[in-house]
Amino acid sequence: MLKDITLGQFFPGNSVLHRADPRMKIILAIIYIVFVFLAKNSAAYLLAVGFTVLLVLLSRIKLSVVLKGLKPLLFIMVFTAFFNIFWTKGETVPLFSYGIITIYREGLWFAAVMIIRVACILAGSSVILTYTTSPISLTDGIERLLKPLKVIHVPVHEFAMMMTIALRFIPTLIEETDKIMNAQKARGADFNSGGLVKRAKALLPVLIPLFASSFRRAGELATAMECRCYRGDNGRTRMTKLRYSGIDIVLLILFAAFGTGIILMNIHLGFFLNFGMVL
Amino acid sequence: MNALELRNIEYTYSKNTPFENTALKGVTVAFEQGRVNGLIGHTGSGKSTLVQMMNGLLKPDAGEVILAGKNIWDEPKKIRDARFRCGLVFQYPEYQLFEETCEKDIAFGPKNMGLDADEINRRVFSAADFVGLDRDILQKSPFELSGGQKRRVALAGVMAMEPEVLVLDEPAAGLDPIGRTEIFGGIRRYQRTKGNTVIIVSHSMEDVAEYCDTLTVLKNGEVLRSGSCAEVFAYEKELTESGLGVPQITRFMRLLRERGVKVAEDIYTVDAAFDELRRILDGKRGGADA
Repeated sequence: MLKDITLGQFFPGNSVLHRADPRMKIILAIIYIVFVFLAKNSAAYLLAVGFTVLLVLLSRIKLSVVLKGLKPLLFIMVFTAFFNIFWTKGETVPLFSYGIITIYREGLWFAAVMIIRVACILAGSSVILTYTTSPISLTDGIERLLKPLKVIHVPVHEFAMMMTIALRFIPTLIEETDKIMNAQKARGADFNSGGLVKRAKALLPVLIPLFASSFRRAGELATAMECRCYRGDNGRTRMTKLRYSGIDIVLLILFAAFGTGIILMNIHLGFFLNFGMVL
Repeated sequence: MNALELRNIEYTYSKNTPFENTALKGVTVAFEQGRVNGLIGHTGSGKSTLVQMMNGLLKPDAGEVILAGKNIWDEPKKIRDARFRCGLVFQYPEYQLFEETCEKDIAFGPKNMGLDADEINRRVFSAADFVGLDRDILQKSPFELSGGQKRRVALAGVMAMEPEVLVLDEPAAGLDPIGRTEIFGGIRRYQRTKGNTVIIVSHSMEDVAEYCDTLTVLKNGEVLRSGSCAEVFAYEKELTESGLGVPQITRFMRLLRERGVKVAEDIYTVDAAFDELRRILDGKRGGADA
């Protein structure tokens, strides 16, 4: 069912990553992604994988859940890896050759690197951000980080509010879609057969009520906000003040160490075994 | 003869995930042909899940759904037939309306059945009659109507398929007393005219006591009690413990009885209570005169 889709889902908890400041987590996620991309050789990739596993352990989220989150991209990963393996031309002797199929060492290397990179970035950034940060504190963090842009008249608060509301209503809308689809199915609507045009037409009985109720909800929400005297950013105080704590500093040091590690590995190629060489 | 029978139905939501949730644990219940059956239970008792089993919107993990003597999952390709024969009206069905006019919206179900235009017309008008919708309302957009009217249009949309079993999930939720009477009146007219089976899901004891012949009580995904109103309401304590209770008037009559007024035990509606009190008062006055 539609409900089962995990779309940047938050898993409540009390781990180190859960307790860290959202602003710091956004910065850390960027650092992490940049350094995974900077990794050049097998040793650096090994470090990246190791660090990602460490992050998963720190978040106390089950490895199976994280791996399940990778599933939707499995197809793309396998697909790209497949092309990398068969279409990469190497400079050395092919490892394997049969008819038009030739596999080079470089092809295998690129495929492996691609898969590791995508899997690490996806798993790592979800563990740092989406799995351990509630949508509300995430937007709060974004708002704070972008605050300097207010000087050049970017409506940061309004954007953050819009994002908060949008995120808040994703599950509601999914549930609503599910309900309406079931109601129309109960009247014999058929969403799974026929050509493209027929299928698109079959969605009308779902989309129209969905739009109608979205507008209704938006109106109700606006009224409710007005009743509570919402007037935008001016003079608005916060219930929770964001504050950096010891955890954030420790995490920052940890990530800095990770970055340094990657750079060291990249420079001192010779010290470490290289996958490419072994293969 | 049972119009619909559920045997040992089991169902778990989000199986094999951290959000796993067993909704039904082996539910067996039979609904007799031509009667109004009530299905009651507290929030989270599995009512809504069970209802979606009846017309094949959900497939049970284990167990059978027997509609008119045949398991609906024998031929999964023909599951749409089960949806036409067992019409399901969801909670707040007014949010499913989508057509330009009410008439077209009511015709959506019959059209999906592949009926010809004359038959569709006949069914639309007869369904509109059941729920008491005027002809001029049929030409209006459903988005212009009041809440109660919308609800009746949605109800007519399912009735127009003329299902052998009509299942309604909380048909009167959120309506005012007049809206409630109109909705239940429509359901009753449909059932009496067609002689079809009706299943009403509710957590209002007053409603089921007034409109249902038999009752099934669900608790935590299992059948707690099943039988006629009198049979089920005899277990007042048990019902109260599962967060349901008996109709207020039944409780009132029990309290009267405890204070020595000799009223009958099987009073479930205000009308019946009125007659009963009248009988006792008349008897007293008659006795004093003599």
